Amino acid sequence: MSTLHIVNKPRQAMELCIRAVASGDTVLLIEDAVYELMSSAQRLNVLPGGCSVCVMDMDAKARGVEVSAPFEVIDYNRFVSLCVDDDKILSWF
Amino acid sequence: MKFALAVYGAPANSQAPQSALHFARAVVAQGHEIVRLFFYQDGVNTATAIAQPPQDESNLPSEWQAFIQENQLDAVVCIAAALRRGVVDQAEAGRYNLPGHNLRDCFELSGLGQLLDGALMADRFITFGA
Amino acid sequence: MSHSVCVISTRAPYSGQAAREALDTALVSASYDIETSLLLMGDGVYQLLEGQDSGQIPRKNISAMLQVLPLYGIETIHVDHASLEERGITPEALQEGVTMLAEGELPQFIQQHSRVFNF
Repeated sequence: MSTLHIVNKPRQAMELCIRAVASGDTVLLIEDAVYELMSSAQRLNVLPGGCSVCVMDMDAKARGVEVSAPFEVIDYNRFVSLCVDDDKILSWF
Repeated sequence: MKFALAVYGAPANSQAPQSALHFARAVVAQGHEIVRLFFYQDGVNTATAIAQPPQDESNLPSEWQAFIQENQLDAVVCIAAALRRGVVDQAEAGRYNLPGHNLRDCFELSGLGQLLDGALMADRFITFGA
Repeated sequence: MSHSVCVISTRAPYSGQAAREALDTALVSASYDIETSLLLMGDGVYQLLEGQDSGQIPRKNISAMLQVLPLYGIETIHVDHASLEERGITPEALQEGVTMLAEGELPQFIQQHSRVFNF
C-alpha cells in the first residue's frame, strides 16, 4: 500500500502533502510546485525515509527551474506508470 | 487499468486542464482506459464553446473536445458548478430562460454523483486541482 | 467491495466556491450510503470558526452547513491539529463535533479510506 502524492503549488500545498506522506510514498511536483526546489528544498528534506521525489520535466523547464539528484525528472508516460504502481493518488493544490 | 480524472481549474487561471490533457493522452497511449472525465469547480470552463484565445495560444476547450471525440470518452460537467459559472447547454438555457448556451457538443451536464461514480468504478482516481 | 470516502477540504470558507463544493461532494457521498469522512486541513480549518455571520457578504453559512452533517451520517468532522496551531486557533474557538488528528495520525487516517477527494 503506497500512495502517489501530486503537488501543484509551493507552500501550503507542499506542507499539507508532507503531513500526509508515509514512508515509501512517492511525491511528484508538477506546475508551480517545482518552485519548491528553489527554497533550498527545505520542506522536501523532512520527508520520511524511503520516499522518493519526482519532478515533471516540462513544468521545471518551462519555469527555468533546474532539477538535480536525488530528484527524478519524469515525463507524462512515467507519471502514468507511477499511478499504476501506487494504489492511491492524492492531489495537493 | 481503469482511470477516472477530475479537473478543477479553468484554462485561464490554472494549468489543471492542460496538465490533465497531457496525462489523459499518456493514459490512452499506454492502453489504459479512461472511464470518466469529470469537470468540477472552475474546471467547468474547459467545456465552453465560446472562448477564443489568441491564435498563438493553445485553445484547450477545443483540444479537449478533439481528444474526447477521438477516444469516445465520457466527459461530464457538474451541472450545479456549471450553472453558477455560466456554462449551459440548450436544455438548461431553455429552463432558465437564458439568452444563449455554450456547452461544447462532446460534454454532458450531470450531477456531482457522477464524480463519485467515476471514482468508485475506476482503479485509479486522479484530481487536477486549481 | 464496500467503499469509504475521505473528502479533504483545504480552503477558507468564503474566498471562492471551493469549500462549498468540497462539502457538497461529502454530502453526495454520504447520501449514497458510503461511509464518509470530512477532513479539514490548512485554511480549511477556518470553516469551523464559531460566530460566522456570512449573511454580511452575503453568502450561505458554511458553519451552519457543517452542523447538519450528522443528519447525513457524518457524525464528526476531522481536523488537522497542526493547521490550527499554525493559525493560532484554539480548539475552543471551533464549533462542536470535531475530532482532532495529531501530526503523525494523518497518513493512517487517510489511508483507511478507499477513495480520497482532495479540494
